[in-house]
Amino acid sequence: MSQLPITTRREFLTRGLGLVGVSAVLPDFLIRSSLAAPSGNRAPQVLVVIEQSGGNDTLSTLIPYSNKAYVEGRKVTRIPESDIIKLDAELGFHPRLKGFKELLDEGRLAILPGVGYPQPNYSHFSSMDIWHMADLRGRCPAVPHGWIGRAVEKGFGEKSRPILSVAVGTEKSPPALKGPRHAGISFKQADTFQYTGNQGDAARAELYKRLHDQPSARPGETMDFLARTALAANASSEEIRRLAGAYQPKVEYPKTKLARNLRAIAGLLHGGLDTRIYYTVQGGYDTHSDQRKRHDELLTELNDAVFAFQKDLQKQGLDERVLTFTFSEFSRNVKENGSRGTDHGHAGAMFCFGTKLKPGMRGAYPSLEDIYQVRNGALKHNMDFRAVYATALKKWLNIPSESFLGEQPGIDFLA
Amino acid sequence: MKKLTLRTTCLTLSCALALGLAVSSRAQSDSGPLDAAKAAMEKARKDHAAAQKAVADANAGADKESAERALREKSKALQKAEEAFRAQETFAADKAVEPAKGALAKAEKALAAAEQSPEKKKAAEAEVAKAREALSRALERAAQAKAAVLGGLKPLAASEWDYEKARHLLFRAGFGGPPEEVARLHQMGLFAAVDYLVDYHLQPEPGGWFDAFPHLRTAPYEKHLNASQQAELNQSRVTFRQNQHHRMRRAWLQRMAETQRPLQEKLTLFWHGHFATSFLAGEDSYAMWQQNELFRRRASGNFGALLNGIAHDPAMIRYLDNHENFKGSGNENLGREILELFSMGEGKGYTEKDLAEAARALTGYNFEYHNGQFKFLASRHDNSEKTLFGKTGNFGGDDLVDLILQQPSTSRYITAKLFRFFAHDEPADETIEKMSAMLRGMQYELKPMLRNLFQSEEFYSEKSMGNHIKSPVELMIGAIRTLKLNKVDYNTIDSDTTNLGQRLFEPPNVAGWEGGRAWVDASSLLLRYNLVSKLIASADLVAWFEQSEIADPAAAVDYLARAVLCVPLSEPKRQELVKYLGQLPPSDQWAAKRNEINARLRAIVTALVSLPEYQLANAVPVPPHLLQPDLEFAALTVR
Repeated sequence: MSQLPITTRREFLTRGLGLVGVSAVLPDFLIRSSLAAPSGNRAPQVLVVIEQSGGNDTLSTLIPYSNKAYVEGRKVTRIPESDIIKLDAELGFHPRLKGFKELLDEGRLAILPGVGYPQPNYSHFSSMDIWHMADLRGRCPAVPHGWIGRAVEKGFGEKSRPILSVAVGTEKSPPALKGPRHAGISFKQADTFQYTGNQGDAARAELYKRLHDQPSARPGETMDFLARTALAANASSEEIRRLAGAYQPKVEYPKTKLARNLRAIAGLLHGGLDTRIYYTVQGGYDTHSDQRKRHDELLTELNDAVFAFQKDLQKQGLDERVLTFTFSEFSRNVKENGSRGTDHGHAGAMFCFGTKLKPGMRGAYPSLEDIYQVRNGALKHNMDFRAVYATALKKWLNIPSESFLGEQPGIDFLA
Repeated sequence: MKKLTLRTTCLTLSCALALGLAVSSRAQSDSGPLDAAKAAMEKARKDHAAAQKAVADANAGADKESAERALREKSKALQKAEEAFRAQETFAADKAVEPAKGALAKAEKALAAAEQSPEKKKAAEAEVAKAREALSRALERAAQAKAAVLGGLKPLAASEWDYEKARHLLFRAGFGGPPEEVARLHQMGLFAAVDYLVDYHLQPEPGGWFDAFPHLRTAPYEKHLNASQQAELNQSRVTFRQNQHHRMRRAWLQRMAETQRPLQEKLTLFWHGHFATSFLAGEDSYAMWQQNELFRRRASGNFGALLNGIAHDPAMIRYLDNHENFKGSGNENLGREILELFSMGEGKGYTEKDLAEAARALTGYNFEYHNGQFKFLASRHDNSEKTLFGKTGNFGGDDLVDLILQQPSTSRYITAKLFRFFAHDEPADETIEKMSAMLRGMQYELKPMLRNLFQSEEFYSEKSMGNHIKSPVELMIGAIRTLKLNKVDYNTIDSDTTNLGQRLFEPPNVAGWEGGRAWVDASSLLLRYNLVSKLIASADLVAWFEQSEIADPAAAVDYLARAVLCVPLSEPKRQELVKYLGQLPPSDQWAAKRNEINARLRAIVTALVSLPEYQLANAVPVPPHLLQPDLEFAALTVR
């Protein structure tokens, strides 16, 4: 690939598109600046990933309320049967998941109840790394890139651009997004994703812009890399702020962090940003003590934000383009601990939302009897998370993943 | 405010010539052994040449064989004579340094005494310059002799030393500093500046350093409590250790920013990345603190001692699962990484069998959970014979470390990694070979090799000064030191470096931080701009100018750019800044307009730190506009 000789926006604007290699580093909307942004259901399909960080207690989310091991193992953290939103004689949703129930009834929710991987790792950071890298070795020199980063590389190669994967709600770039060419774009809040050093002073903003339009003294390879990154950063932050700021949602979003992040994603989708994979995080699931109250709040935030997002997409006519799924690094033990909480377990449920999927339970609930006999008992998985990734990439984004996820069985949850 | 003064170089030059002669005549007074060694070497050379000729002249057969035998002997003798001469030369050159230091101290004392009389002062200043130049030459000779005798890298000529190189040294062997600190190193001369940084034990240790507490042990009465109560107490201990982890990160960042021993902290950071261990594995902050103190204590000491320390380090034992490595049920994690990542380098000079045997040698290397100290479980140690690198014996962990040090790939791997950290990514094989020969020759003492590296031409080559992207810690600590920021909230610095991808005590994996371009992407670059801009939002820049009379906006921009950036600014960018700054009021009005001027100067510095250029720690050759004599920092900052 040839090196991009352009290092300033001015040069870019005056010399135009006739340069080889431009697409490798320039944000796409700069390249197609004259093209109308595609929107509506015809544009390419998009995946939204919600990380439930800390280890969500699946047994309190999708509750096997009539199971003896659950009833006996959970004295304090058990959800009273009368409160549970029952799905059948065995399973029910946590009482706060009313929106999940509505989406399930509408055929917009598919549930993968027992997802995990062989030889469980019970450490947050190791297990999270395994999910991010989609490799049982975790993040290590042999596995330097995350599953989303590698998917973007596979799908776009030399045409890959940072804007293809966007993480909302986190300044620290998630390891999953890191690919061989770039690490996507990450920001905490769309409306504050910008250069703030000029403190709102117009003259200083102008100075900043002009300095970035001027060439560097002695552009070596590293300086070129930095200048191009600066160009991409300034251009993408401008565009993201503009689109998110102009967005008029068609439903009211709750005032929570997750809802704010999903609202921003809806805005970017509606505005026609070329992003194919969005990523966001809801933290706080590490409920070792006094789980009930905290977990109720977390599921309320999750339910209300996802429900609003899904309804908004429907009203905007974007729902057919978007598949959303949740994951957590592990679920929690079958038996609760001594501090009214639960400790690190293994297999857990993933929830997939969208209009074009096969709704309902798309797998068996993991056994509460045949479990890993560690600590207070960890659920064994019956579905590998890498197969879920592979299916979503292949069937939804049309990106083959054998080269980095290996041969995986298809999971039957997409229409 | 004082006037800017030009430094007079022609004066110092002529003095230097005179003084160089003086020093060499003094050295001659006790140069008997040196002369003798030189004579012996010359004789050995002649003998060798004669023997060579004899071989050429001899006919095939017995004569030829005996001539060749004689030549081999003469070659050996010559080598020995050369080594003896270099040893004498080094000894004599080293000895000449002390009198030169004494002469400088004396001249400086005289200068201090002459403070009152302008005439005497001028003469005394000339004496100081003379003495400094003489010391610089003595140090240069000693460094050259030492590099030759130890087989290290070729030192840079003292005359090549300039402000940019001093800034490069201070940033790479430390975390950077304000213009006056760079100027001081510049004034010292290359060799004295390197000694100043490398011999950091001569500087005081920073006060107020952190003292950690284990907080692991349970009290005897706890066994009578119920499960819920025990869990509650355990939770409080976990919380304590996590809080301590936070306090340690803050304290270390502050230490890096305030220490007078920057190289010691830079090396501590290097070893933390090299022997990467994360708090997240065992959540034992006390063990992490002990490890950090090990790195600091041994930072530039003996690598063998450091490696041995790591094999006994509780945090490492926990991180790489050696607490589960027992006779009969092994865990080879530590055994593998100790060869692969910590000493020899992946696939360099060991077999898969060696890895397994290394792990067996480490069986029973454990730690006591309740006090966080190393513990050897003799009954769980595998006492049978092991074969490592072709040698067989009942090896334990200490033997393993000794055997590793005997492998040539160890010195090469360590020097290459240090070279990459301090200089650049593409060292020539020959460079690494020279450095590692020096390390081996000095039985793995790191200091002579580091000193030689920081003196070397290679360290100041364009490659070295051209391509280093600052790590988040270098970025933030560099800004604090360069701009002399006080009232820094190290909680904020900690969360800043975390968000930029480098949280101390939590490297991503056993290979440490990836570094280089991996630090920067579109999002993190904006974040870098924003975080440094926020950090300097209260810097008092007017104070910088109080010693000078800079009213010309171009001179002010040049001054600030040269202080803040390690790379030159392009002329168009410079012009934009000059235009923005505009005419500054005359200096007598600055006091009244302090806030307004500060805001304008801060806008300039903020713009400078919000540039791709600021992400680089280097100093490529400087364009002419920065070489104007009115930018002599030494003169600007003299109080």
